[in-house]
Amino acid sequence: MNAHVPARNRQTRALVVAFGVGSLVAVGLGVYGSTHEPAFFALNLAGFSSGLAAKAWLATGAFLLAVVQLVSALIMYGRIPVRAPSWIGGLHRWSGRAAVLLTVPVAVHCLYALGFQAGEPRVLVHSLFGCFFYGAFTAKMLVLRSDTPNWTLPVLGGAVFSALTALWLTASVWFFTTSGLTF
Amino acid sequence: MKKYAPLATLVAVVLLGAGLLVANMLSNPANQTTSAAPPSAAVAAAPSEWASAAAAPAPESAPPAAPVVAEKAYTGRSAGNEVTVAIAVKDGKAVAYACDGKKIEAWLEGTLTGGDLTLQGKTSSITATTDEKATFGTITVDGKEWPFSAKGVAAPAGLYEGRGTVAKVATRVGWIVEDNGNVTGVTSANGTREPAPPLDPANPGATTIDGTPVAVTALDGNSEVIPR
Repeated sequence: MNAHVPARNRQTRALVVAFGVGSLVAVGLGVYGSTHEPAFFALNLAGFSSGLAAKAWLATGAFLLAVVQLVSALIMYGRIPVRAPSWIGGLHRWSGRAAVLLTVPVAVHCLYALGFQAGEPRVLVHSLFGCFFYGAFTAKMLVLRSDTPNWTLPVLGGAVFSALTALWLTASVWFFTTSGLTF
Repeated sequence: MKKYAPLATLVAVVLLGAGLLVANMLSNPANQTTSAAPPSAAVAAAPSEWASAAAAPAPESAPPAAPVVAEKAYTGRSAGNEVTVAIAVKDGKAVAYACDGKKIEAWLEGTLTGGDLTLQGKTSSITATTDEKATFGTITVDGKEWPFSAKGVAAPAGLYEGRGTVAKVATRVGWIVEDNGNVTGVTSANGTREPAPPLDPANPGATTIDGTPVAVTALDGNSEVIPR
């Protein structure tokens, strides 16, 4: 960033870049999901009875880590009246990395084998939030080390958490309630 | 280094995603050169979609697996709501009907081996995987292919066929009754298709077309249907 650019312009620029790239990611995923032919094929993970069970459990793992994310973020922002331990930042970073990496095999399966679908409300909501999640995540990563206003980080973090929760509710919870707690 | 940590996270996500995508594409049987293989082998290989690719035995050596459900009916929709789909299975045999309630319809029959459904109509086909709760797969009707999902339902939901002679023309009707009571059907006579007359699943005997009674039967997987 050039030092002579007014701070306010710098902020706007960083904001536009982060949200722009995030939007492109979300729209790009949606376009890929709806244009490519669903393959109805995917590698399974060892140890699970079916691809669906594997996805449901990976997403559940990601959701539990996302709860860690929420709690650690609240502590860092002083919203939970405990003294923030020194390792809370590291916990937040690494649980977040683990959570998002857990979602990747699930998302790849969704996009490659199934694509963006709108046949029923649950599926439509899931498809929309799936695209939104990675867009919001990208924007949040870009905001972290840039010069955007202070509100952007908690807002994007909240958006990422809410999206993941919605994804988990419309997929894993649906799967467990229809098929039982199968591994 | 710390400045770039979020970017490194993004890159890691992209790399993992791309790697998995490539691995999926490489091991997808549809992308391998199976065109030289006999059609039966290709059909047998296709339903292995959820199976572990590494552990999948050669289709020839695998004994036919017992069907995962003895008797069940499923109803559902294609992903974009183009057609309503009903599948009935019984003792390893399967029949299916798909229609849009207006002028697209297909009758199919086939088999359930393990959890793999394979059905064939005259210009239509279904490949799907199923369990007690639901069926997921692809349906092709007249060259158009749609992914679909269908859930297991209990009577009176399911698949119904009506036969009658209306104005001296042999008439065939297919209905799908979903578990929310929704009825979708198409009447076919003399090569033309039109929306089916209403069906009351509680009283199928009362069904008529233009005042002519139609014999309605609820189909199970063992029923004889004329694929078309």
